[in-house]
Amino acid sequence: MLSIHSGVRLFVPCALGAAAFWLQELAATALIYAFALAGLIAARQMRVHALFLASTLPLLAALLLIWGWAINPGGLQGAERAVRLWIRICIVGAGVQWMIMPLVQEPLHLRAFFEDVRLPRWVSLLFITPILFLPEIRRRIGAIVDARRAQGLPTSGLSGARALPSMIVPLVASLLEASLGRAELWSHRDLLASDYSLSSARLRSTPLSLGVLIVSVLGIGLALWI
Amino acid sequence: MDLIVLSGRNFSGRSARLRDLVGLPNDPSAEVVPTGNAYVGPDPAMSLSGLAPTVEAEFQLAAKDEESLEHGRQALEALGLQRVLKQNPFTLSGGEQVVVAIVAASLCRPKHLAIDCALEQLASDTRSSLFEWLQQRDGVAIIADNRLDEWHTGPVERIVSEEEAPHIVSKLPQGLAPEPVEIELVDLTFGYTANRLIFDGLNLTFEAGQSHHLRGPNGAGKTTLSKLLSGLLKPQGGEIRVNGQRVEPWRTPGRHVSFHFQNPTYQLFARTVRAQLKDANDPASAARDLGLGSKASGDHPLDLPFVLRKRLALGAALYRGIHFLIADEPTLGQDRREAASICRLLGHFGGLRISHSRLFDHLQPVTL
Repeated sequence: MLSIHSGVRLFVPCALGAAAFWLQELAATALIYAFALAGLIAARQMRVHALFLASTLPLLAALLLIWGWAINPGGLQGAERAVRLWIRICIVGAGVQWMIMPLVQEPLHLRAFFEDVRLPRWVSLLFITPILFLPEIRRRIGAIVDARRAQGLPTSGLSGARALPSMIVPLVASLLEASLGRAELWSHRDLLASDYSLSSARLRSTPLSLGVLIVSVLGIGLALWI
Repeated sequence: MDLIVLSGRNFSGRSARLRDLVGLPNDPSAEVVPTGNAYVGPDPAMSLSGLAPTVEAEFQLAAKDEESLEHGRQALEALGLQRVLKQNPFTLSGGEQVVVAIVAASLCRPKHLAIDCALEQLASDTRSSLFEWLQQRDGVAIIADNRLDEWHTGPVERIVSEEEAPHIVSKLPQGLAPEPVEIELVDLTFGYTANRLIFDGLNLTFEAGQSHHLRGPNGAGKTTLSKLLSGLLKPQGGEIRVNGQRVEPWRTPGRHVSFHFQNPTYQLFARTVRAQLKDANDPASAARDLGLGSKASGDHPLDLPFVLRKRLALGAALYRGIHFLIADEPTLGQDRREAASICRLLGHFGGLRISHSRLFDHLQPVTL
């Protein structure tokens, strides 16, 4: 558990963000690389990052074609600009993944942070609900695919692609039903208006979760800034 | 908690009455306001907040104080379900979700706790233990259930509807003559992870034309066995034989076995009820025989209420004409009379029935 005051915890990322603002682009880039490296280790999703980077290679080719050949034929300046643009896109993309992944895996970190800084519960729920919906959507898709396979219906290839709309309807219908049902439950049980009156039962950030959160916010901010 | 029990036929207005009692509007456009009560509906997943990635976090959201939170932990311990505390509520089995939803609802310390047909998914032992725990809580539990005669002997408030709802016809549909098959599992081995095998050298024979009642506590592997039989999962070892011949069902899922899942919403892919029953000789007549009403055949399947969706999904599985049918809680949400009709209808087919209803007790048991 962290013992420092919530205000200090909010001040630290703000101060680091302000310091980063005065850094030169090169230093900021180095910082981003450090963040990204730490994120890769923290998230332990190397394969996803590698896949993401591989998927940006066609983008690099397209940028080289546009900047290095179509706009500035034969010049090195255009190619350099294309590579720099590609690196920035990769950094922003990796930063977003890095920020989202640990939160998707452990949305409690985010909720604990909001509870620590005493933000209204509805703010916390606003951020967490979409994150928690992602694995649920995945589970529902799995159930639908299983049901189709059990009926001997195609789920892959061209036939599967053609059947996609009929698979999306039960998914969307069930998600809408779930959303309406939960909205009713939240209102009926007054979950959104509850204060943080619990003492030891209340969620609290661990130093690691809070650190990951602050660093990821900083990382994504810097990635967008440069 | 004091207990009030409601009974009534499907479409008698039982659920509406229950919602009224806990201050939930039956008009979808009406505003929902906190009433200090709680409601757990027939789909337990809808009674979970969706805001907690673990059962413990779900309890933390619901608990008014530390004492309540501790009660929640004790409830799971009393039910032998303490292992689910760190699990995601949506990865639990239907029965486990019911327990978590009811315990979480009671941690809010409601004046009235309404439980609408959710208990049908619980094994009798679990239901008894849950009641014992609920009795230690304050407030009033109002329960509507289709299987009251299986567990309740006290007074019941009956809700009588003057409107006659359509019924299920239990005779074998015309033109349907499925051929019985024998399925054998020989030394079957399966586990979701290499470290934890669910089945290690499982040997079972399902005789041709015979219906079996698959039993076992929550998490025993009932759904996993069903998925292995229907080809949705590939075993790590052993053989599956159909009529004595070795087959690989994971290559052609659904070929030898028809599977009716517990949740009907995920199984309905057609645009109309008629199209969903395309395998029947006369889909409109098939819809009537399934008790969907004479006007339903042009409706979208997902426009139907849960009770009718369940009947339609079951009908679609039957009309595939495969004799070996796995039916997971086929009578869920159906009142006593319709459940008995479904039970008779399923008697024309072999295979597996997974249910906590005593209606299937006469079938040959398969215990995991």
